[in-house]
Amino acid sequence: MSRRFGQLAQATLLGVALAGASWWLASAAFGRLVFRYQGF
Amino acid sequence: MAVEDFWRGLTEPSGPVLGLAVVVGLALAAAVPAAIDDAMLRDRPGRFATDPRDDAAFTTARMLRMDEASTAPAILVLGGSAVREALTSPEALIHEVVERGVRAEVHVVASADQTLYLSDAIFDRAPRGGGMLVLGMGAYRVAPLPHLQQAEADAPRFGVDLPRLREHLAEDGVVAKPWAVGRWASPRLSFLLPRAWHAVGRWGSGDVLEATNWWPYGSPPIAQVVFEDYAAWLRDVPESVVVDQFQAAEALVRRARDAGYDVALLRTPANPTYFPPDVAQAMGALDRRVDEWAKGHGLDWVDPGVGLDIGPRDLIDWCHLNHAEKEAAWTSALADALASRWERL
Repeated sequence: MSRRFGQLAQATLLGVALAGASWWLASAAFGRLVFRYQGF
Repeated sequence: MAVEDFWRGLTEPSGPVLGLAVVVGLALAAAVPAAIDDAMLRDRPGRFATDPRDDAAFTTARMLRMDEASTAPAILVLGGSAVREALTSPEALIHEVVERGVRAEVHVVASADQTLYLSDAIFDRAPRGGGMLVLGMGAYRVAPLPHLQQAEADAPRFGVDLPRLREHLAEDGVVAKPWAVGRWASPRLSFLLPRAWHAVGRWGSGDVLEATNWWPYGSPPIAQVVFEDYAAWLRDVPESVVVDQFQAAEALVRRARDAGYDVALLRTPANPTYFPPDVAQAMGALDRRVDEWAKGHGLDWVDPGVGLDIGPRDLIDWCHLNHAEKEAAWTSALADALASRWERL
């Protein structure tokens, strides 16, 4: 049972890291693209 | 023993755990735009703004505040950056109007490169209790830069959907480039993407940005060469562009009046000596057309600049005021004009 909790914690930590990395990548790759025109 | 088991589960690589991690990660990533609701964008734009001049972030908040408005009568000021820069700040104007005892919701949505298409679309979000609409108007508004329409289609700037803007663009056959993110993603997603890390970096720090005007006071005038392309465009603006903008203004005026709004136009400071004489002449001709159009539609002008001695040196280019005292005076004069017009309604 404890091992299962450990695996769940691992999946959660990795998942959070993956979500952060996805947003970082998306922000870097597409953020500039959609932000290229803002006017002044 | 239990701790050892937990540690083993936590550290041992495993296919199913990795699979679950991918599912959790993607679900969390997808949940971000859903978790950030209108209230967050409305109440804390300074958390999402890339910098204090992030016009789209603060304009998004101002549009969302209109959604929250009651059905009480409202005073609505719409316009482009010429209005925004002429004010000390939208909040200063709102404060001054309220200080004069006006009992109305006051909304100021003056944003970068606001075409009349966009003004018309923003009006869709206006409180439905009627009131008074004051619309920034002039040559610069009926001759917007040609790339603006395409830019709006390619990448929605704001964190709210503006269906009426899409309608206007579609009527003109303006189609987004296939690779444009904003075409297929929600406006909320394309709004959040470039701001995600600014928001994350600022989270919990209490560092909330306040909107500022674009140019710091005392900035040197912008060299005319910067606007060479714009000047060339102004020399010979396609008639179809001007007609489209007048039509959008007409639609806006009609819809506002139907919704119980008194409508007036707002004259903003201008420096006619900024451009070469032939461009100034072309703009003068457009200004006269705007005046005739206003007369034809029974629209009054509100001109807070009268008597304020605003000269070419007070503007940073042809239409943006950049002078602390004169902006304060212009803001107060506009508050006076709004209050007295409101009283007469």
